[in-house]
Amino acid sequence: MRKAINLEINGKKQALEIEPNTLLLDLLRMDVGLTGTKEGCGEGVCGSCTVMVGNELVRSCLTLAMQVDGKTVTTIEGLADGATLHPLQRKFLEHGAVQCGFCSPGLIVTAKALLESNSDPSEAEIRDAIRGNFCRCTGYVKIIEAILAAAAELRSAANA
Amino acid sequence: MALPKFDYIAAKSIDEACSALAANPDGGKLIAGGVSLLRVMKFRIMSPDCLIDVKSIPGLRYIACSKDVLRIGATATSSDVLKSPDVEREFPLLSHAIARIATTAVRNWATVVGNICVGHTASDPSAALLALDAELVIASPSGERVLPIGEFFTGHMSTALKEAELVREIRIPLRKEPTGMSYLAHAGRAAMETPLIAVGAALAGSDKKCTGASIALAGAAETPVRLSRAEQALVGGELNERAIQNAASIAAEECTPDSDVYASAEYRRRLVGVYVRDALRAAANRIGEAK
Amino acid sequence: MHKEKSEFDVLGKNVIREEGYGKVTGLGKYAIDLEMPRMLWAKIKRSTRPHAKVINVDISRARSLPGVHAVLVDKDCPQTLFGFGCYDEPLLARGKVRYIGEPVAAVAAESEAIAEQACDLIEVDYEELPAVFDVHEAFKTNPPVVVHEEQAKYRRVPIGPVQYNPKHPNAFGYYRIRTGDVEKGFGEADVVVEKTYSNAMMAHAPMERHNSISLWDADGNVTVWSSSQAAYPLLNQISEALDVPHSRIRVIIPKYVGGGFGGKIEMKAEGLCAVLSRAAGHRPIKIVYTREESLCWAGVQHPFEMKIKSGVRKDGTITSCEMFVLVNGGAYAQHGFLVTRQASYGPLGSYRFPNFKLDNYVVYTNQPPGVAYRGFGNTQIHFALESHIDELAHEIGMDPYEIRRKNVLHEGEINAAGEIQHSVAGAELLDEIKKGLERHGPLDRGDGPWRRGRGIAFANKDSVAPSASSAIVKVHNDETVEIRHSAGNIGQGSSTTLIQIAAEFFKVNPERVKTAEVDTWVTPYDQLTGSSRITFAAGNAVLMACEDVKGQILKMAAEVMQANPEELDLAGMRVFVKANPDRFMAVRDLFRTVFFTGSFLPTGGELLGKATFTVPSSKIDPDTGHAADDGMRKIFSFCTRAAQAVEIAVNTETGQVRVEKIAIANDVGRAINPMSCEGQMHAALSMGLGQALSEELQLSEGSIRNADFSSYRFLTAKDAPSNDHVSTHIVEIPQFDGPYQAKGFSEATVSPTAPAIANAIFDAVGVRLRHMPMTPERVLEALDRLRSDQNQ
Repeated sequence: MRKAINLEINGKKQALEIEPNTLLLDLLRMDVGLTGTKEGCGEGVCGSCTVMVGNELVRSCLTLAMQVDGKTVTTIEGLADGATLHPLQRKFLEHGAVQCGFCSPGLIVTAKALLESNSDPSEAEIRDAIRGNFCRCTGYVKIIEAILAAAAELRSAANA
Repeated sequence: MALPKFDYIAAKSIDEACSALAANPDGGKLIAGGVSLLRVMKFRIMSPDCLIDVKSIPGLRYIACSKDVLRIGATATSSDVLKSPDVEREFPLLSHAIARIATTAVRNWATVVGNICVGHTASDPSAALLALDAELVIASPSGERVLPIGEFFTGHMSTALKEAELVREIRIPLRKEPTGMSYLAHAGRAAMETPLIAVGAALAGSDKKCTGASIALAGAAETPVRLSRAEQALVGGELNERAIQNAASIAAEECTPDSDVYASAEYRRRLVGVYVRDALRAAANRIGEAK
Repeated sequence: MHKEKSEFDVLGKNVIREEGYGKVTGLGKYAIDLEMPRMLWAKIKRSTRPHAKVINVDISRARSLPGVHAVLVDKDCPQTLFGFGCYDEPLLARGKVRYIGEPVAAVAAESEAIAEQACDLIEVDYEELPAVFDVHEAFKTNPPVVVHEEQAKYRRVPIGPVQYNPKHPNAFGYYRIRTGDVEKGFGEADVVVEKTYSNAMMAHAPMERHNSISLWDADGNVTVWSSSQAAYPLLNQISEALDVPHSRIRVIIPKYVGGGFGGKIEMKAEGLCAVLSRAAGHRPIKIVYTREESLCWAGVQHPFEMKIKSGVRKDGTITSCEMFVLVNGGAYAQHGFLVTRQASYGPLGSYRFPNFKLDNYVVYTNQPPGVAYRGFGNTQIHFALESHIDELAHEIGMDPYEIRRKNVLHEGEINAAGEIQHSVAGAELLDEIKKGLERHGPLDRGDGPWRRGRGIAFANKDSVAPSASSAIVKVHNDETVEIRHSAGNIGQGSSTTLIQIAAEFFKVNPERVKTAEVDTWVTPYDQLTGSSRITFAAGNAVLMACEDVKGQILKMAAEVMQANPEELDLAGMRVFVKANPDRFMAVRDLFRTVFFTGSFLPTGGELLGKATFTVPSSKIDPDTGHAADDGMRKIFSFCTRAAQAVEIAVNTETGQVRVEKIAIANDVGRAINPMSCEGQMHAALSMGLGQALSEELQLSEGSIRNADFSSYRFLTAKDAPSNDHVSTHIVEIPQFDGPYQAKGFSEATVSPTAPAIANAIFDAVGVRLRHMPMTPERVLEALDRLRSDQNQ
């Protein structure tokens, strides 16, 4: 039996009717058409499905959409400000942290949450924060460089 | 991966949740974060007809510390526990165990109660709570009961929860004497893996005399267990390297691990000896800090 | 980061990925994101038996489930056999199943959930047959089980020696190399060492699971959108499987592909889903493999068993080497016999062997089929060879660097298969990693449970020949350049590489160059994305197509400027007189406008350069594996080499191995995009490390027990060394016939890792592991054995 839910996704209000067995990931990808968030494993391990609910990271492939009723969701599509990329997005590009790119949305959202709670993370802290984001291509080296660079840029913008 | 179909009830109170469970004896399951449950449903290991959602029941998401006891509510997430200064101060063993779980995104949504109710032997919080002599407050349509956590894990993936019961709260008694704590786990990767084995150790006393020893083990038996023989070997004696090595050997003998895709039983047994020793050493060293 | 060179305008610059914006914003559509109107979902019913006759498949209940639009079994499909040179595989099991996971039936339905339900309603009656999993058992002359009884009748493309041998009825591929006299060579040695090495079955595990959409429309045309790395091989296989001509098939690969690593070269379910499409009223059929299917049944990395016997003199010279290799091919040939062939040459690209004998068989078993996997057999071969070289070194008390320097090939040398070696980096790579590792700090062996050691390894990868790549380059009326090429960009950045090559050629900003989506209606033939060949083959094709269109431009401009084409040159989209550059015209002015309807080219239709780049190979003697002495002496397109040095720590109580420092060196010809080159080299820390230490598909009677990301140990960010202990060393030895002397190298980035670690483990704790992955349990077992040996 379909149930009504209301959420705000990337600042836009959405009213939907869904089956209770709808996962947040499928709601985003199929009902709302935001395919930036990916399914890599379906069991919450690889991190490709990571989004934010409120200001917390969650695994959208293991989150019932019903439980997000009345909440705000931020996906990768919500990071850029119009045509202006978020510093994380820019640094990922400039540092070659994107190869096949499938892990990138989940990683960038995870990094965003990290930098919101820790504006000057060490490499070890970054590795710990992204430990649940699997990347098959990059070996994580340039991803970490990019996050450090984005953190530096965000700090100097905040200090300016 | 899609979920099978189910009916959905968003419970607004514990009573409503228990009644819904009673009304769906064969096919009703509680869901809080759902991180464990949804995964097994996707793999078609379980297909409950009805999910009873407790996540939004008001007043259950708390961590409250008094002078005697720390209480964790049914819908407190792992992240809530990790962020709690009370937990970090009183039970660093629990903080370390919870910090091991998956990653932030999972901890933000998964509840500690949910984790222990799965009844998995390789559960970090289960072992930690076992080492800390926690108690569980269990609600049902007919009232409440309190169960020591040592009686909660009854077998592989099974708990002492009866029909229509749910765990409303975890209670951990504050330590009466300065206690050194340590939590160590071994997994095949540095992250994102349930432990092959894990040890939670809490020691009280001094190097002249051990007055209290609590050693819990995850992953090396059908359920998380307390290593009572190893504990008894320590209590009353000197807390020195020889006593620790002895306790570790007893632990390695005492445990009853299984083989699976992650590791053989023999390897787990070897790890138990190493990690119990290391956890006891660390816990012993920290007694002084706790004073 | 590698400093940018200034010799060129665009080459050597860290140009940002063309498709990067779509990837960091989530706006780029991967195949898995695509939806079509009236699309249906497919699911495959797979065999649960490793070897069995299919007595009956009852699809009646599935067919009548509401929402199901088509159910197929073998008799509903074209009765063809497809393959990759050895044509042994039906779309759906025909008469019997040969591995757990083999497709038996397929369903198209309105949702994945209904399709899955329908599969559950399909009942298959099996008559179990004995099964064979062990490669030695399968290889026997009278094996307990023959997996393909009709093998002798299979159509094959003849490559190398005769492939079918009734003495080994399960072997479906064979390769041999004969050089000199190995027995005589052993006689000349001071020490002879014989050991056997092996590896577990592994998975590619791309983050984007295999998926596709197929449409067989009412006009009889087949269109496929696929997460693939090889449009034309896929087109070809669809053609063979469906018995439909090439001209009626269109393959589209989106610009966004979430990894391939060799596992997305062959046809997966594209052809099967086309048949479903036709059966379901010509509706598009989408299939997305589950993570289990993607890990286990879309092709795996072959387990190899490699016996190496070699002789060495006290001065370190290798006198003789004999190898016997058995490859566990699994139930269908797929890439098996090509892997066998390619791997056989692996040792010969590294070292000098005056006497060399190799026999390499790939054998059918009732396990999931193996396919191309980054390295194409060379990862396995180099694990064996490089561990072995160290074992030789230890026997004669020689430094592992020294023994390699002594035997490594030199520029221009002719190797043991009679092939001339071009663009050879040997000692250069060894020197780089030695210095590189030393710069990470001194070795502290440690005195607690963690003991440290260092190890090195060398490797090479030949790129396939013959090889062919076509390209079309269009210059638009706004002077932008469009490259039409079918190279699948699976994350290695091939599109950007081609853009940089074209931008350098035209002397324009790379932002003025773009690539078209791979679409076989638009982009011409390319052999495949694999074998590290795109920079070389596609790069050359693009350069040639650029020359072609430049010639057209100069010819047309000559008319306008009233000059001779030979007097003119082109740069920055200006045609100018070489002797007097102030006389010029803009390319855009070649176009005319008539009556506000846009612009056109007065002659020739379009500024469209076209070219085909081919690499021939010499005739190869099937008996010796040698290249004919024909002036070319060429077996492969080119060879790329690599070396890695690692420092590791071993926990002597738990067997855990931590890689703490690594120096990675690769020979790239010329670094077109140094940042991308480094990115490829970092694969050592994901796939290289994973193969070495933790990844394996655990088989039990043909069934894979750990087919998910929780138990298939895919390494996390915390499993790798810290960035300051990772160094990459790009070595540029020009490849004379490469585009701007560049060549590819991405496969050789993972081969040295495992043997370097094996060698470091030996250095740290004195145990030699000869099977990868070298898991903690295996390391601890080896330590226990060593300790008990020492106690005796």
